[in-house]
Amino acid sequence: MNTFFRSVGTRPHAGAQTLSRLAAGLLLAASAHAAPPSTPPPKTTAQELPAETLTVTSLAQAPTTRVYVADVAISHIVDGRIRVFDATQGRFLGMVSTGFAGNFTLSAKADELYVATTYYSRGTRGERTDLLEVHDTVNLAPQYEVLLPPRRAQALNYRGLVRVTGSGRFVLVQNATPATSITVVDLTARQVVNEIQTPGCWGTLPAASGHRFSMLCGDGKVATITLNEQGQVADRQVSAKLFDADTDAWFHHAEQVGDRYWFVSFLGQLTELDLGGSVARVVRQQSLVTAADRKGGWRPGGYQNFAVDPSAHWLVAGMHPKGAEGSHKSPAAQLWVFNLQTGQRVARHPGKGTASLTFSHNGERLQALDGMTGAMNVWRWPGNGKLTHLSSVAKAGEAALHIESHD
Amino acid sequence: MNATPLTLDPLAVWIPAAWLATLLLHAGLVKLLDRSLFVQHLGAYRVPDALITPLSGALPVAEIGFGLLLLSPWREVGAAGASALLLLYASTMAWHRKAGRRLDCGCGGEPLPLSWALVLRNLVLTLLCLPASASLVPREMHLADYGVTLGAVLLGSLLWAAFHQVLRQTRRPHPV
Repeated sequence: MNTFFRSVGTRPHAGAQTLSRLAAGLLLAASAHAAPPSTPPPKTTAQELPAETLTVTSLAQAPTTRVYVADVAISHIVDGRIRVFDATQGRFLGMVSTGFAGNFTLSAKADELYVATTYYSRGTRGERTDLLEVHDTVNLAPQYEVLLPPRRAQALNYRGLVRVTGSGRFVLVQNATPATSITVVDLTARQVVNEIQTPGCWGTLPAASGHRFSMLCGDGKVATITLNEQGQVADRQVSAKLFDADTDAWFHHAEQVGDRYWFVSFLGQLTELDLGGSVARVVRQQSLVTAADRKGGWRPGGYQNFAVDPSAHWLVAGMHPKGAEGSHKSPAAQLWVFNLQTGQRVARHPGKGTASLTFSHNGERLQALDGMTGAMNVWRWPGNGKLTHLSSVAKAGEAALHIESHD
Repeated sequence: MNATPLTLDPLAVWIPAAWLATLLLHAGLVKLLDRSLFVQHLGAYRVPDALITPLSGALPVAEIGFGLLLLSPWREVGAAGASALLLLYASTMAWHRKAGRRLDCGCGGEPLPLSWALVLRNLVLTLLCLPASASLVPREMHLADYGVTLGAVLLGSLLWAAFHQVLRQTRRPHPV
């Protein structure tokens, strides 16, 4: 409106011409309606336009350099979605509806998406139905669904809330009432086969193979559960205390390469665990911050706040200065690159407000979500710590905090 | 002042004693049969690490022991032990609930978050230890009495399961 009035004011001549043309047009239209036609209207000879039909395309021919970006749509949370983008071009490819605070994971072959979600019979209220929905990644269409006990954690999007076991047989869904448990869905039988009590523990960290998974527990230990072929608990073991949740808690986000898992603490302590065995084993620990960094209050922050490349050679972490109690979800002021072989930091890059990070499975791209603007930034990863900008999407979601790579 | 020992009809003694014994024997066996899960429960209850292993064995053994004593001539000892365990569990639950932690109570079956209702439940059970430890009015127990006791145990088990199911289904705001 302001622009229109300003243009009229600054260009009176043009404005007056526009108004007179408009008035003339209105008069003509009025007279056309008022006067009876003197001659019958000419017969239409032009062919009618064909009726348009809505079609749905598939991603069969689309590039495989894709990412799946979960958007919890927090301002209208019953209506979450996963958006699919071509990461190299920043092109929007499709969307999957994920209901109320739906959490998702990808199958190992990236051919299926598993979404654990909730629907209420009256939209935002009414009877609650929890489902595991299985979508294929070619048509982004629902394939089948499994009814879940109505206890799943209605939480923001985190990787550990829905995972597939290394065997590909069972999907593990986090429950919270807030008493914690895990629902086990057998994908072969397409039904729930177990609900495992997991007191004091949260999230699922599957081993690379078999039906085994681990969990972080509030008492600083890692619990490991091995399932049998029926999805029942065959073995349950708890590690020694690995962290103190009161003094320096671990982020729940973990990075996985095979059975190797990396965890970062609120103060920047990196721990590598081997979760392939019946009980978690510490492989290595180091600090990501030097004494000088600590003086500046540099800490890791974000949601999916660090990423390890598939060769397990590099780690990139979102870091912010002047960190304090409660700043652990702060978007990155800088991205720090570490060489995991030497333990040395090799580069620092502008943070771009990064809250979530992931490498592509081929290790050629680093993909990030901006927690401030909802943008997605993708860099080429040449494997030397340097980042070359590849693409950006200005708005990948309204509250997009979880990103997974297809390729 | 000498406390007058409570003397009750055998049915009024044996029914609460049998209820408590059933509860303790079941609880102890469940814990022993899945000791690794019980270890996790103890961790979630913030039991110090050094005590977790000994307690993971001692608590279920004590539960089974006191449960058996409740059905023996040393009923009073069983009742005293049962009340001590129930008060220990009630106070631990109350401490966590007061701190705003709604962890799984570890009451068996599907997970059930801690609530004041569970603390109250334990206090009511503790009160039952009183009649369970009472002296018996000299009256012979007949077959019908045993039948009533058995029926009371079955009914009590049903009510027990129903009570927990109601708690699991209850939806109310939880101020933290």
